[in-house]
Amino acid sequence: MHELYHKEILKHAKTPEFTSQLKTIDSSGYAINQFCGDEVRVNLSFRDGIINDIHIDSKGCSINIASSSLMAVEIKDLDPNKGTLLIDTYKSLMNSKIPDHQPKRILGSLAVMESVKEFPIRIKCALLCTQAFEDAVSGLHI
Amino acid sequence: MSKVFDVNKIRQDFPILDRTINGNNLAYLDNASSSQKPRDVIQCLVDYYENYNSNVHRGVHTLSMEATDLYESARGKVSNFLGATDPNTVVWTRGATEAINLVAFSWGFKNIGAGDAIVVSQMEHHSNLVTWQLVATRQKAELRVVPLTENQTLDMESLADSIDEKVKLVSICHASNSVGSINPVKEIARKAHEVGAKILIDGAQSVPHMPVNVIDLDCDFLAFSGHKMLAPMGIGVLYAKQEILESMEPFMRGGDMVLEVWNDKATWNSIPNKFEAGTPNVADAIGLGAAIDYLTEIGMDNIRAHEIELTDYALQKFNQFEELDVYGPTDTSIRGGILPFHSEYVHPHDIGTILDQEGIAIRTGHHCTMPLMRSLGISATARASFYIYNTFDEIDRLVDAIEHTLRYFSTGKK
Repeated sequence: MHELYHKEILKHAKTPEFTSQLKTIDSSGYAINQFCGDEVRVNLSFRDGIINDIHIDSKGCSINIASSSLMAVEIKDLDPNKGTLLIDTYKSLMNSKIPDHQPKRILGSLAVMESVKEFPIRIKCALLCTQAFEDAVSGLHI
Repeated sequence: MSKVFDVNKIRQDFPILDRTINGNNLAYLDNASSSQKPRDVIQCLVDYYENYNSNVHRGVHTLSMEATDLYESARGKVSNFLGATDPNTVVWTRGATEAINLVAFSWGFKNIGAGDAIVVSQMEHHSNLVTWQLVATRQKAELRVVPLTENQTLDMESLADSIDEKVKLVSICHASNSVGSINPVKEIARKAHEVGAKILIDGAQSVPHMPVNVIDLDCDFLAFSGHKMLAPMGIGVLYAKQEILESMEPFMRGGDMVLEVWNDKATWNSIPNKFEAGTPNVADAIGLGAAIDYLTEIGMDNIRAHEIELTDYALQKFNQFEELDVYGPTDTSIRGGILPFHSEYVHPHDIGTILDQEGIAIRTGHHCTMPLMRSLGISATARASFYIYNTFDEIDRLVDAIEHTLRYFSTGKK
């Protein structure tokens, strides 16, 4: 069980980051898992083309909440293109098809979610946040 | 006369219960979702495919006649099991969902119109809610949802207020898949009939677990699924009163449901074939017959008594968990063997994953009752549900595993 619930995952599940409301929301995305009802909202604020602040509102299991929190940690201060590259890399990692040109190290703390791969039924919980992020940046024409 | 209830002997009839999951003996507590299958039912399918497989009806060769006999014999078993007076009132469907849809399309669209009302409850499975949303929307009828009391039983005062002369149908579950409450459907049928309305009983969670007699209940429609009562997946039943079935239009068109066909028109076969277009699910219908033989031999009264004992035991054990909210009535005379629980501190999916590591299978999520979850102020529960092969020992293992889970999430230690 420790393999799934890595201490960093438990920490972010109990006290997720980026839970404060934003003063200005420049872009917002949402995702829901129709099977379990878990949901994630990602609100983004930009300055000079950079994601300078994030609000995450995730409801559901520890894997969903922790992955959303860790994603926010890693996409802050990136521009949307780099954020998208990071998310694509994360999805590739979780789907076991990470190509050579996407070095895993760019994932930073988010790489800890790899432990979830041992529990395939929970991978969708770890990827719900990526759908919300993609929804948020889909209208930015990046 | 049924045999003495011996759970250890019953368990020997279920091969899957010998499995280990993650190094532990399987404790299968997800029966409200689907039951396991006894050797009799599995063997019945093998026997059918090895010795009788053929298309039914109209065949003049031996196999077709034998397959037809087995298939129609299974219909008779269902009819007897429900206390119905005529096997032709038993329509095969894929499951309870299809049975409810059949009623909606073949009866609902003809008999429910603008200004009429349909009554359901807050504890309905999506299959018995979304279907009536469609009918209500398309027919410009009103959908009335009866609320629940604080222990998730049906609010009978609200129900009485909801059933007036505008109501054409009351469609309600006999037992809730999500909170376990057993509804007084006989009384509800009487109230519906007083205003000239029909009643559909969703028996998916009652027919497998307790005696259900359609004549005693005086229900107009009863829907249930085979796979929750030891039978294969993909077979279910709609029972309906004969005169209602005869007044209804077919659900689907195709072979076997017609009497005569011309280029521009067709006439319909008699009931129940009128509602069974295309090649039916012969093997699984026969499998449901075998499951009914098995259940009947054990005795539905004995099964209900066993589940009450298990549920009483589990409810008492769960009292130790101050961190858990347990839903549904505590009086097991009005509760099925369903135990939904929720912790503010550990999400149901996390509970489900940790229990799985200990070989315990439960279900987590909204259980296809999202409006009910919303009314409880939660998005999901963890749900243990019991059947004939479950034991007190398995409940002890469940309780121990929940205790481990709560400790793990509060301290990070196993």
